[in-house]
Amino acid sequence: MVVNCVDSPTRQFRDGRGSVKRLVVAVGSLARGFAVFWWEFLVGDTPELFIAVVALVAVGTLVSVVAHAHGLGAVSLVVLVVGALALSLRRAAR
Amino acid sequence: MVAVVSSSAVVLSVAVFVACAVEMVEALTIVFAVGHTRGWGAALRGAATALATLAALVALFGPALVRVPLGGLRLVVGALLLVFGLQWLRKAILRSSGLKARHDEDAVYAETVTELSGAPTGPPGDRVAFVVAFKGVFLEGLEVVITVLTLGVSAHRLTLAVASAAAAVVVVGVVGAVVSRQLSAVPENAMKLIVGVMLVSFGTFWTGEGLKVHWIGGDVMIVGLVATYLVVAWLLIAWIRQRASSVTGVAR
Repeated sequence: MVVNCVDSPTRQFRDGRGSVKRLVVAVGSLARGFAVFWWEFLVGDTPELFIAVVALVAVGTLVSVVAHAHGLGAVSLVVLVVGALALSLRRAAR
Repeated sequence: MVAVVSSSAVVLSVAVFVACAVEMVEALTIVFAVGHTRGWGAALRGAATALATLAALVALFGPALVRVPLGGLRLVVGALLLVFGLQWLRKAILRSSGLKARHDEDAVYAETVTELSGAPTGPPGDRVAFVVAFKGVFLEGLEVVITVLTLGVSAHRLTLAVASAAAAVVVVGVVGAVVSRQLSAVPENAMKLIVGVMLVSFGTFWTGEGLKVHWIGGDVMIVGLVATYLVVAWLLIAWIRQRASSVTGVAR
């Protein structure tokens, strides 16, 4: 007896599961690529600069938004940017 | 009629134009290497497809970002520009002070030619040539897309930012086609230093705006920040050079 497996429900179910799996793998790989891109873009080989910018935003929030010292906030931002750059260069020059 | 152009618009145009020009020089070097080695058809197709994809990204995300509340957007964009700009500025200072090798377009060209020479030659629709040209233009262009979107949207001047980037693509493309392969003569490091200073200036300004700090003179302060960071960069180059020479002196 010859059984036509081409359109059988089992085959269709297996094909369906296969394509879902392929989709999950493709989405996973896209998400991983996206995360790697942003990690390389923001952190890369200079994690100190990323940390410095996060710290700078935190200090700026404390000074300007919490303490309402808006003028001092401007000055502290510039000073912290220069400090972060100098420290990163010092690290590179070591 | 006197046309009133704000200083921040001028600085924004210059920043986007120079940033785009720098990346275009790097991308064009790869396209030239592919074109000379594998033929111009696939190289130009790859470059054109990448440019179309980048333009689609700007068209897709630009209008969407415009709808985001400005205060929060400026803080996020400012922080992003600070990270990005500080990385550029750091690299440019290290190159200017001699601690890091300068970006050599001749070396990139030679490297790409060697890589492609080893690959099997293909038909007129050369897939390897297409992919290498596409990758070169797309990856270099992504940084430009981020610069255009962040600067353009924060300043509410997306059209101006896109126009500046497009102008840079046309100018560098035409000049590159005329001088062909002489892209190493472009003062890339100096341009990178200027872009780094501008990105850090915009980053500081927008972060401050997001945090509601008080900038003396409002938008004009961007010019003041550019001047301040240029002086700081110059001082840091001198400091790193002196530090490097004193270390060499001690080693001797």
